[in-house]
Amino acid sequence: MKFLLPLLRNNFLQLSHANQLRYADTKSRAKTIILYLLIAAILMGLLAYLIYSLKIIYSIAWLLEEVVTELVVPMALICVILNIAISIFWGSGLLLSDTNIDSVLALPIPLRTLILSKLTVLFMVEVALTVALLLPMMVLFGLTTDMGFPFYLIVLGITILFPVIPGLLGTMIGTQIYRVLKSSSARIARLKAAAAILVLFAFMIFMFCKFPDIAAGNFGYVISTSTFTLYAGQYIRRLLNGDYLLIGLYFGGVFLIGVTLLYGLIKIFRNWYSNDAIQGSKSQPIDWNMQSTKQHSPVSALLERERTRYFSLPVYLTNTACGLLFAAVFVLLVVLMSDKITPYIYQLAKYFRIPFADYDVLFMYALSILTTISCTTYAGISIEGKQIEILKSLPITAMCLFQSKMLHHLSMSVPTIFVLNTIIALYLQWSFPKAMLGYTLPLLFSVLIGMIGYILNLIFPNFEWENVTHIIKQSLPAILTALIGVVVTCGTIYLLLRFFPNALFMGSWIACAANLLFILVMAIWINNEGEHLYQGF
Amino acid sequence: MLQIKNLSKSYGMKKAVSNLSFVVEDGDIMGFIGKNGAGKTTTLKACLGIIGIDEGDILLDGTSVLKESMACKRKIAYVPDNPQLDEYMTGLQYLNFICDIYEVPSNIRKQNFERLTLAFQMETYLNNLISSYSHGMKQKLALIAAFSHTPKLLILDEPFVGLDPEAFVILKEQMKELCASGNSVLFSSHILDVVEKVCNKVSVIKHGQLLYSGRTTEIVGAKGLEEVFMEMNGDEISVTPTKE
Repeated sequence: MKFLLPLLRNNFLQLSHANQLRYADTKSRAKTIILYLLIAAILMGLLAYLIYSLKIIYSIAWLLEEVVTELVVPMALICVILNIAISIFWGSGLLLSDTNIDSVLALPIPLRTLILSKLTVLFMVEVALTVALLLPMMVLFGLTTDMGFPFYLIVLGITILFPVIPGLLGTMIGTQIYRVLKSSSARIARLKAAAAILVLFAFMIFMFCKFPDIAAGNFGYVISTSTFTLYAGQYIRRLLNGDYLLIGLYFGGVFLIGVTLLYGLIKIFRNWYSNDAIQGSKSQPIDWNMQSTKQHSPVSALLERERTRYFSLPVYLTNTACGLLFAAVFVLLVVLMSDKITPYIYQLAKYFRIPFADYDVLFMYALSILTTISCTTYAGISIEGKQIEILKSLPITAMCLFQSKMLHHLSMSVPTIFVLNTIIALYLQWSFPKAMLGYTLPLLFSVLIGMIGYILNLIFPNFEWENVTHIIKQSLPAILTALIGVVVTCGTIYLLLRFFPNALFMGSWIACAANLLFILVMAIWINNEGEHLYQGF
Repeated sequence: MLQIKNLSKSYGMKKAVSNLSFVVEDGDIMGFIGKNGAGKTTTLKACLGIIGIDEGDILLDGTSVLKESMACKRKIAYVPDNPQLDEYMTGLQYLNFICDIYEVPSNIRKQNFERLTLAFQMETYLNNLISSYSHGMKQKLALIAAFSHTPKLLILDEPFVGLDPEAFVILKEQMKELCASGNSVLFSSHILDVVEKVCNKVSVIKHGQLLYSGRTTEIVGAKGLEEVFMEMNGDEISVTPTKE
């Protein structure tokens, strides 16, 4: 365990980018500070929302039974699911994507210490999440039953140890999935992309269908009536009432199961390293007559490369395609379950006193808002990573690169917008001018956000990432593009509804013209400055 | 022909390369040697136009790399010391991508692929993802990609690191074959034995300054290149005038 502290210190140093603040050049330091500020702002926002929600929950006079079945049990279940999900995606990555693993394993550090150090950060995040979500519910139980101080200490201990089992379990599951996905086969790469889309699509359908219940606060009722939660409710009630045997069983059980899972994880890791990590490439004879060596233009070649990369990285695919999938689900629900979706749209229209003829414009904005969530260009430059050196040595101009990245972005959004708008226009029987607006509005927003993402990535590139997830989810361009996308689309509709509710249709065409102007300005800027910035990387 | 004229490059306060000048003529295989941090990689990257320079110029067949970088890059191939290839592609996809960028016609690239992949013994791995390749295989693939469009100037940074002995020999043969057609190779290496045997010319750099540039046979003489290099990089040694 003497190595645990130095390893933890290294992990924190890596995660916090503290060395960037202390030793990096001014530009990198500024980027890190901006990232810190953005993350702090988002966390503050979430914290404010949490406090606001807790205030509402604490203001209600709950019965003891209700606290357990409506609050504690559902929240415990949510925490379990969240912890498992986070561990599947993050835990396995922490363990298996260390590029320096050979050197680290050669050090005189026990493997269990190494694994513990890697998972500690994950554990701390999960503890923070559990403390934020579950602890207030347990505290409410304590306040309702006038429990003494020892109760609060015990529930704090319970909450802190809560993520151990789901965390380790999730990491084990994620590790096995990672081993399957990290195959040398190009066919497996395509299959995993398809699987990622299907899983995401199914999840979205589920959320859209269940969202009204969740929004109305009925999810507790839905969960509490299941057999599992009835037993869980009884167990938790006894635990919180101070059944010392049960408390002892809980702590003992977490310890024993945790240790077992940890040793299971060590074994999986050892197997992975011995067998998979150093496994060579399989040789297969090649028939040159069957292989394609067809010539393409440089832009086509770059576009094909973008596409291959996009569908080979599930994290890139799922994070940047979710908006388009949301839009597809939205249109699907409008057509198949219009009684669930249309009333909300019409309610909104009535609230803003929009003329009935313009109600359909709100559907177009809903489609626009959802499609602009999908943007592939904000990671377009940074995703080259350490390949940027080879890329810059090739006879590729910055404009070629820009064209390929924008074309890729549009190759995802344009067909989707075209198909979805056609379906919704036919279903809602839009007139020709409305249908045209339905195509133009989301398309121009998509082009706009694509160019904004590209420009932000040109200005704030990051090629020093070890894990591609960082630049797809956590980088400055990623966060800024998402924020700007929301502000631009929601801001446009807000301004129109607020100031021009009677001229929504015409106002939307003017918004399209404004978008086109911004796009032209950005295109000129890229043409003038793009090459210079690209050469400066 | 590559002409480096009075090249200077600094990183902040540190002068990485100072007033460097040498020539790589058509048909030359030039070894570029120096201690770690001497300025070799900076010089090679400047020749590619990857990094900007503070002073001087770099000409490829009379065309400035700084002013017409695209035209020059079309004639240059580069393999870095640790090639970071597109791991999500198969080997063949990567080769096709490089040849598309260099606009190599389909029939020519097919011939080159067959010849080079056979020579480097990579033909049975081309349909696998690059992510499954070892370091040596990635190095070989990068070399095949570089040779496949028959560059006028091939720039290699530590090309022999990670290659198996057979690939070692094949690379030397391929370099000689490339230069026999009037093209040239400039590579940096710490393996002085190879430089001595393969290169007809050598440039030695120390602390960003050129110590020697000229024929290998002239600098080596009766001693080995290793001994000469150690003498040159000793603290008391003065700068030897550049010879052609």
